[in-house]
Amino acid sequence: VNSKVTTSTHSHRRLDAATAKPLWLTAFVAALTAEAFRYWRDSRARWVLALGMVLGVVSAWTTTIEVQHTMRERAVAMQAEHSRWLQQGKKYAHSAAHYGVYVWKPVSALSVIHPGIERYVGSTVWLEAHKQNEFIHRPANDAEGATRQMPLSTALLLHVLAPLAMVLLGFEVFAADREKGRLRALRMSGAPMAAIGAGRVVVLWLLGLLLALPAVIALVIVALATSDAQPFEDAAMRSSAMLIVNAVYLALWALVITTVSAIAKTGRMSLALLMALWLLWCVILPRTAVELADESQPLPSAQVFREKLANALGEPHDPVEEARVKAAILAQYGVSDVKDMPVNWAGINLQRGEDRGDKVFDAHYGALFAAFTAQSQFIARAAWLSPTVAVAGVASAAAASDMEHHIHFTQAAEAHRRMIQRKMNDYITANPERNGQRVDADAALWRAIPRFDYRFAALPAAKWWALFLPLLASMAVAGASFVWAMRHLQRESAA
Amino acid sequence: MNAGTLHSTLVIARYDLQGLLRERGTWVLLLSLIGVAWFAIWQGDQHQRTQVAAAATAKVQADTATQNAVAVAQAFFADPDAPKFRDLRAFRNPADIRGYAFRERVEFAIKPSLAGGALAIGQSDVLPSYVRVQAESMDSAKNGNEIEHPLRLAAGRLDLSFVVVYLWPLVLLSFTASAVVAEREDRRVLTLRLQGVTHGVHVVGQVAGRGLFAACTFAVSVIACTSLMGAVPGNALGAVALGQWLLVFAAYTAFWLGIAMLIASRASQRGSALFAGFGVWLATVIVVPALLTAAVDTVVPWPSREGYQLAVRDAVDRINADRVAMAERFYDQHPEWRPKITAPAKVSPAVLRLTRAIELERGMASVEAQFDAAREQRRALHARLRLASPATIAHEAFTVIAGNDAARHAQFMASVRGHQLALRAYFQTRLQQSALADEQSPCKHVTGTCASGFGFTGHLSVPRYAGHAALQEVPAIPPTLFVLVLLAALSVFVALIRRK
Repeated sequence: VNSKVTTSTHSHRRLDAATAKPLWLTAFVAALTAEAFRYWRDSRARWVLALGMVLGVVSAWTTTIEVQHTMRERAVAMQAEHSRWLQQGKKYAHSAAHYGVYVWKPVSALSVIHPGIERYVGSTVWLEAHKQNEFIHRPANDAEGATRQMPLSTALLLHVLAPLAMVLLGFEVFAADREKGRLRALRMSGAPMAAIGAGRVVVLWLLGLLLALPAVIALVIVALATSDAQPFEDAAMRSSAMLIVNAVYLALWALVITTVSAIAKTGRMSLALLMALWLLWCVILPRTAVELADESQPLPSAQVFREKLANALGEPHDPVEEARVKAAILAQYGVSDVKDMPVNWAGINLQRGEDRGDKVFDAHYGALFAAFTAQSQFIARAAWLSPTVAVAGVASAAAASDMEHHIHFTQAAEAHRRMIQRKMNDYITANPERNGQRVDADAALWRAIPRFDYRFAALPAAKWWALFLPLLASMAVAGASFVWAMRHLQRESAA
Repeated sequence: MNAGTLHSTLVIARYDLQGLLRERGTWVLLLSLIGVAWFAIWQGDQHQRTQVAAAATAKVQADTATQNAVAVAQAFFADPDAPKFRDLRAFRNPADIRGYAFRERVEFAIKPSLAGGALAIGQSDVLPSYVRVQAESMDSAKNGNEIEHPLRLAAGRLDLSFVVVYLWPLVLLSFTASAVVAEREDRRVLTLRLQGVTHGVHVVGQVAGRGLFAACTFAVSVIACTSLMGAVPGNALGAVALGQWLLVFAAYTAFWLGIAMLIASRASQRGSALFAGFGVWLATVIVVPALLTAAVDTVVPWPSREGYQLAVRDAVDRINADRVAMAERFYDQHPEWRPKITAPAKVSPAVLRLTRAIELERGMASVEAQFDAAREQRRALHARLRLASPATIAHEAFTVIAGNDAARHAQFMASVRGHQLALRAYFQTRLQQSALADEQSPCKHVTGTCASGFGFTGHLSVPRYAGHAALQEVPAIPPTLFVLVLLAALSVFVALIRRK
């Protein structure tokens, strides 16, 4: 008898397992379809979606125009500056070093999705002799300031407004069933609650993605129009990361909204909780993180920084060091006076000055960039508390519009400046004065300076993992919470 | 409103409030907002203190540099052959007008902070509170940004104006979401009507009662916090700043109370009321201001900044190519400074450096005019469009009374420009007179600096930035605030229209 019972139980389990999958899938599809129709019929949902789409189109349109215009203008400016450098005519190499070149930071099509810090850093820097200049022409300085807090951009739409729209669309997704006593009816349909929940999550996620659609279209338009000009060595990886991270972020919100709606006693409570969460994640924590980052790693004031830099640069040359270098060079050429050397002491001396200046710049800018990096790392830690900070971190890294990429560009521009100075000084060194006259250089030397075509280096896999990890952790927690909430709902509806 | 109606309204408000205050959620919500507001005030206060401290350090640097220059000049002219001056080249010598005018002189123009500065950071984190002034050009003033992590600027600041403009309406709407609607949902409205409570009394009593309680609690907490932290000075100016802040806060609160009454008078369910409230909030504080800015950017885009820099380079190239003609033109215009022996083409670049700077500005005038025109058109368009955005009106009002708005900074920069022109005129005169004197009796000293030529001892008589009277004045509250009051009145009027 026992063996018969055991056999019967096993066969029932096999039967259950065999029917569970189609049932789950059927319930999932049915819930998905029903939910989609519910939104289709709901006038409030239509309003929210219409408003979201209008904002999406406007933000994508304005951002596209701005990014395309900037890319075009910077390409023209870079070419014009390179031509200007090549066509400067015959002149003393040190005069050319002072003439210098301007270089502009490249903008990528991905900044359509996440402009990051671009409006708050200068766009161009002058590479000239003796000085590591600061970036100038910061767009934010020209702004009226009325919308400093929430400037319309695709990033605002995707990371702040789309979740809000999803909250407004989905806060009643289960709470309304509970309030109106429909949970038991759901249970009686025999459909697993998790399948219904998953269907509703997917619909909410798709609605979020719908709001993101204008931004994606804008990205494709800009990417296609400027496919040759993408300043990345890993454009495909970055584009994929940008799309994936935004999709994951919206999926996270869909999960969270459904979970909260499933556990909240009323729709009102669900809306209040979700609004509080939205405020905390999207509005308060991102701001608090940057404020506290400044407290944790204070930056010097511009005046103090510039004064210390100027003082360090202005310190008299070490006469002992100067005499040592001079003596070594005189010994190298076996002469007692620099005038008797086959090379030009002026060039050697100029380069010595540059080397000394480089050390000062490295010390001062190095400390400043280290402080910026420490602040960035502090802000990145807030990604564990706020998915909005996490998605912004990944998106701005993908678009190369974060501080780390800006520092890389700054350092590359400075390296280019130092290369120009070395070539100019090497030329002066190799060409001693003739008949008391300095030897001018010509286009051959100018052509020896390559155009500064900067490309952002590929981000290593470890970096991507570090960026994605907080969001994936949030996703895991949200997923687990969702499963728990669905089980809770299953039990509640059975009670 | 007669006495009976007033009495009924007060009774309704009192009973409603008693019920509301028994709910723990009410206090959690209000105290959370107050906590965030205190943090925001602390942030504003920290920001202002940092700015004031940086400006003070800048002033010390400038004063020290002047004292050092005077001391170096005295020592130099007392004994120019001292070993320490042997390698002192003219362009680094504060006792030489060429060195002092172009390199060694340090001066900062400081934008005075106002009593209410900590209440709204506004644009003061993007636009510097002090700028270095140099005789040659405005470049150091225009490009002298304060050092901040750009993400801090991009994320937006968590200051008091942010809390009031963005978060306060949400709390207010949450507070009032169930006002009137709860009775409507529970079908108790008819009972109230039978007891003589009219629609108007019901709506005003509950919404205004809740709103005023929350507003007064919040305002008192803000005043207490600013006083305890010393964020606003404890004098008449501080009192005026707080008074102005309260006025703007009251107008903005009135607007949102009007909206709350409108929702309370129309919504049939608490959920709908909350949904409508958040919807109006989203449209008012985010969508409309964002569209406003997008409209300004689209209608009047900024001229190309890249093009600006290329124009500067073109102008420099033109001047370099035209150097001789430029010198001739200059001495034609100023025959009193024309060298007696030296040909204009041979005049030292240092002597013509300010002339060159003036020529460069002349060459850039048309490009600058494009930017000025765009700036003015954007300002005018923005001024018209902002009337459609209560959040923008409130945000601007808070920023204006704090003295941290872009318009005040523009006023500051205009005064700096005036001073820079005076400074340039001063040094141009001294420089040309020195060049003439040096030509008459050429300096034989190894440094090229002689008292009879380019030597300079007038460090203390160089014009200094004296500020601008208008920047010290208490700013007036923007008249656009009336729009908020009008909108509030309109909302209340519509809310009080009885529905069937």
